[in-house]
Amino acid sequence: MSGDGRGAARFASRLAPARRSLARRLRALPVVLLLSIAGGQWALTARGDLSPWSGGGFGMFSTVDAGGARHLHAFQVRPGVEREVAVPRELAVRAATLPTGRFLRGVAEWVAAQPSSDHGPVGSVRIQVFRPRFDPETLAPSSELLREVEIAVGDG
Amino acid sequence: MADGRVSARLRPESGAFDLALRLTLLALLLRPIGSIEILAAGMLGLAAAGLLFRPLRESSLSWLALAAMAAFEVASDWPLPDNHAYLRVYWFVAVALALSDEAPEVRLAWNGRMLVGLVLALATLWKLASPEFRDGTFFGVTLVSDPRFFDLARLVGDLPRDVLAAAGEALDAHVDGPADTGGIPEVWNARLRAFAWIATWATLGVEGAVALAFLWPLGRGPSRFRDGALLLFCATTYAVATVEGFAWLLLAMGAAQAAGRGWRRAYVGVFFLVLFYREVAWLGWLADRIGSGA
Repeated sequence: MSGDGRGAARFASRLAPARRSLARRLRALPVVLLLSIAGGQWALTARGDLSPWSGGGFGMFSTVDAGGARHLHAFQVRPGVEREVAVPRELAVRAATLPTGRFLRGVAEWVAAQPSSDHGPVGSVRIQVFRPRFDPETLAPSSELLREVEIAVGDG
Repeated sequence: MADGRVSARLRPESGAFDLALRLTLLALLLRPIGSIEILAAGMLGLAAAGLLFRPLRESSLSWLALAAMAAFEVASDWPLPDNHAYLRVYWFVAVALALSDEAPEVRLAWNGRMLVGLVLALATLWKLASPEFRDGTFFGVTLVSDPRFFDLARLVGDLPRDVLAAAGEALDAHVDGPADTGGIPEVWNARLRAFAWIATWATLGVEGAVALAFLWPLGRGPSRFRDGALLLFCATTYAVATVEGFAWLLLAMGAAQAAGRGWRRAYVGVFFLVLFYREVAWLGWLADRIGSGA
């Protein structure tokens, strides 16, 4: 037992200089991580309409356009028929916060899986994402259409 | 154990360093994180054990484990986590690296200073870039519709509770397209507008000042006021915006680089002041007695 303990201590002491050297090289890693993720968040906000509150760029409390304040509508689309379907809040908030690719597709797949009004197959799902706006003089609420997409689902 | 060497080396001058570690762990206990139960339990257990046992607190492996769990939390819920969830990961990594460094106090102090400075600089830039922040709309909407600001709005706007609540519901109502109401003129009164304007520019001023002071070369110019600026920011901002997890993280980072015992005590004092803000509805109490409204 004590032999094992001495072995482990020797192993650890041999590792210590390497660990210190690695720590010295990585000393600015937290700052690099912060700046890289903030840079990515800025790009996603500019190009992907990510809410400035989210994504690690520290844009919280700078705008009324928080992900949870956005609004999402989703419609099952069949030839001649369009029906709005209420989307579970967590799914809707995630897609509204970053209305791109896989999050919108996730909403579309969920909506397509719900029974349609005439129980026929759903060909596509139309999704609209609105962001809130307020009049600076009166604070009257309005909204601006941020994204509108139609995603083909299933065999259709 | 390899970490025993670090522990011994730290002991003679471990004031700021050990305080920062303990405040970070205490913050984890007081404001547990984790939507994934097993991770939440792991972080709580490590935080509690780290507070009780110094070797565990000074083990870089403990902090790497915390960083990994916090990073997993962020990744699994992306892009929804709050900004301080990201900051927590950077800080845990900073502590783990410092504990493997030859000069842990210096290393952690440097990372603490940079992280506080950059976070507040980014927050200031976002606010400056946002027209609706600069013209006071953001604070107007937030005061009326964010439940965390309800009592403050009652107090400064001298508004009855039911009138303010109805206005908050009106702002929360979703409208597709252009506005179809005349707004909330009875609530968005001169007092509330004046307060929103003051809050807008005071926030920009104090956040910008903290960023400047923390990023300025140490020991010169604005850098000498950095502790006071951060403590003022935390003592005022988090009196209203109860985001205590963020506040405690900033205070732990501040404590890591605090110059002298007096400032370190002040960091501890403001840490518990933020706890008081969270636990005692003092603004509601004031609004009930001073404002117009029940």
